[in-house]
Amino acid sequence: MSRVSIIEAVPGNTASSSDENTNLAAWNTATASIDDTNVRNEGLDHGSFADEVVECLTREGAAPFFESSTKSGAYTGAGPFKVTMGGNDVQIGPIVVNSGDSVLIYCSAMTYNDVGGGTATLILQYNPNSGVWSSVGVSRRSYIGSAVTSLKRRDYTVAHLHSLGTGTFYYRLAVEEGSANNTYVENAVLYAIVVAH
Amino acid sequence: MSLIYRKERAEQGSINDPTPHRDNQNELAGEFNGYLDRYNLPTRAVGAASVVVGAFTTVGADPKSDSVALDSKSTTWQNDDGSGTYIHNVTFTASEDGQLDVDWGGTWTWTGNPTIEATIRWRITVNGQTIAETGCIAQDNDPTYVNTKDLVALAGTIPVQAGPVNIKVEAMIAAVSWYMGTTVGAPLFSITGAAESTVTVVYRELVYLLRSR
Repeated sequence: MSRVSIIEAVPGNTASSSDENTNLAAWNTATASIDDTNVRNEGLDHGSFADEVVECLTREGAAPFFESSTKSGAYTGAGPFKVTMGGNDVQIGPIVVNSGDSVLIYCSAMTYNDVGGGTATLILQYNPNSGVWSSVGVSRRSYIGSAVTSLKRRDYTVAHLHSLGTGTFYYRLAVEEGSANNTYVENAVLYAIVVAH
Repeated sequence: MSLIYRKERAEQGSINDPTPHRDNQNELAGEFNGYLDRYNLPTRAVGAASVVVGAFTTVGADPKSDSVALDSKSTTWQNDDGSGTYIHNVTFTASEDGQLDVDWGGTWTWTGNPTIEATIRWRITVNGQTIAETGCIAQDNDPTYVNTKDLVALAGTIPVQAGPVNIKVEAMIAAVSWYMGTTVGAPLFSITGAAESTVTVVYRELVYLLRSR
């Protein structure tokens, strides 16, 4: 807080050097202390703020992965396996998250298993700039469809994955498959919003 | 705005009257003590370090992986397993009015092989008001594979006032009869009774953003 209190000069009085020094000291105290109490209510607008002060958006996936004719390779086994479509990993980063920031990861994808009753699990993985990928514990969405042929073996699902963290991260979409069948992913979109304030 | 307008100006050769000096000081201090604004700052002068965390957006999350076994005999909205393990039941205090965005995603397991149309619905409520709701999602039941899994994502938004804000995610399990007619405005389904299958919710995430500005 920085409020300046001034000793006023009065006509007819002798000018006081101590009053002048007190006033100068008051201004000096204000140096680098300007805060909310100094600013008029709603006195700042968007032009006052630097870019990405409030939030920034990193969005990937739509262009390379959002083709209906594009699907991932077949993933068989426990995994998790990174999802690759059109020669690109469904991955974003590096995302720099400063202290106090929050990062939200959103993912939309369709997945299916080519055998009825097989498991298809979408997983969000992160890499804290160390080259080692880890799964975000709760960011996993599973689908086990019916084994009845008439109910279609090709089941489309949508997952919504998000997480919070701080640091410098890469994020990617991965899949697990638990029945030695083939799991596919189509039309994935992965994006991050860093909320600073 | 201040630091732009000079109220009084001293002239060379005039008597040294303290009044202009005092008025200038008061003008400057008066503006400084609470009336600085955008005109005092260069464009984009305020960087991230100058703004307190949470000034514009409050972010919260409730990631969970514990199991919540829902009551398969109930056909009402359920928020917990009856023993205090909640799907999600989050309360926070909004420091000021704002717009609340809520995202939720989760996975659940069906157990059982019912002879009826077992379904589940999901909804997000904020202070008791529903802001997002799914339709009836049927179990992919068949004779040979009875433990199916499914997943869903929901998102909703609502203005909230300063004060306590409660967010819940609830589910309703029920057997339904689908309405197959073409009458506009007719209900899509009717609940015929309890589902014969049970539902266990496992991996799920609730994320909310309160946007105050």
